[in-house]
Amino acid sequence: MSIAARGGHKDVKTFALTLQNLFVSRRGLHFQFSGDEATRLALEGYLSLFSQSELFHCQVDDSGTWTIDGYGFELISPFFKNCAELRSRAIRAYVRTRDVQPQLVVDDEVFLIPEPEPATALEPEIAEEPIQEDFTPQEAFSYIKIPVTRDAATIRSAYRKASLLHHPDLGHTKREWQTFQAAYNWCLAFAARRVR
Amino acid sequence: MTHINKDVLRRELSATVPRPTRTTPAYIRRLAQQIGSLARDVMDTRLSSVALALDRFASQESVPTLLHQMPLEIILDMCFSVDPTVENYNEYCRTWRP
Repeated sequence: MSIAARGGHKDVKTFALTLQNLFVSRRGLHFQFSGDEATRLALEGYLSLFSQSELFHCQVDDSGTWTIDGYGFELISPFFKNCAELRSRAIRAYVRTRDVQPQLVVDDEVFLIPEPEPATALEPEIAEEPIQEDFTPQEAFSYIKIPVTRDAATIRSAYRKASLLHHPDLGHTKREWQTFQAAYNWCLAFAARRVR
Repeated sequence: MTHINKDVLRRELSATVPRPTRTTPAYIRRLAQQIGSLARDVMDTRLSSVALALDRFASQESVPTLLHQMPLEIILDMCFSVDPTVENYNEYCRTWRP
């Protein structure tokens, strides 16, 4: 179930997942997390969004342990706050949600993010229509060929090239360009962190 | 493999390299450096050879006078239309008319 594909980008919510048994092995990042059905679906949708990019592989086994492998593990880590402290138990994640009601867990205190307002009777057609994003990350990955590799420099240069080729001055949308630029900037920051 | 095209390069260079009133060898060298740095950044081999040839071109003692009248667009035209060797650049400049 891909929630992110259905949500509009204006619906990006931030909430914390309580992670357990988080560890990094040669096979990738493994973790379990607690949360209700809505939280589970939200994370699942988020991860499936990225797995379509072939940047990383994520799978969940019967015991509920998630495994993330590939370069995408590094790619999604900016969305996990403070990835240097992967052993911390609470990690904030950005998830797009529209159809679920996620929880916000901060220091074991649970907040329910209010549901979207129900459609009024005046505009039922508009409420029924699926939201069309002007640009989605999947689209970004279909525009350019990101090499499947663990070489950070190759990935970084691919993003840099993509941001050059998709500049608003050249007739592309600002959102496209910002997406690639943000990915490139993040790759730079990631490389800088690794050097230290 | 997608190469950086002329429009992209022109936009990038206009944003990063300030344009002097006259095209000087120093300006060409600066352009070459910028193109070379960009080529390394995006791992574009074609762009690297362009940068190398431009740099050698700028280092020549007798950079053709006509080059000084060339706008950036024409210089980039030259970079992308001729095989990037100094001799070819010389020839291009020799035959170019404003």
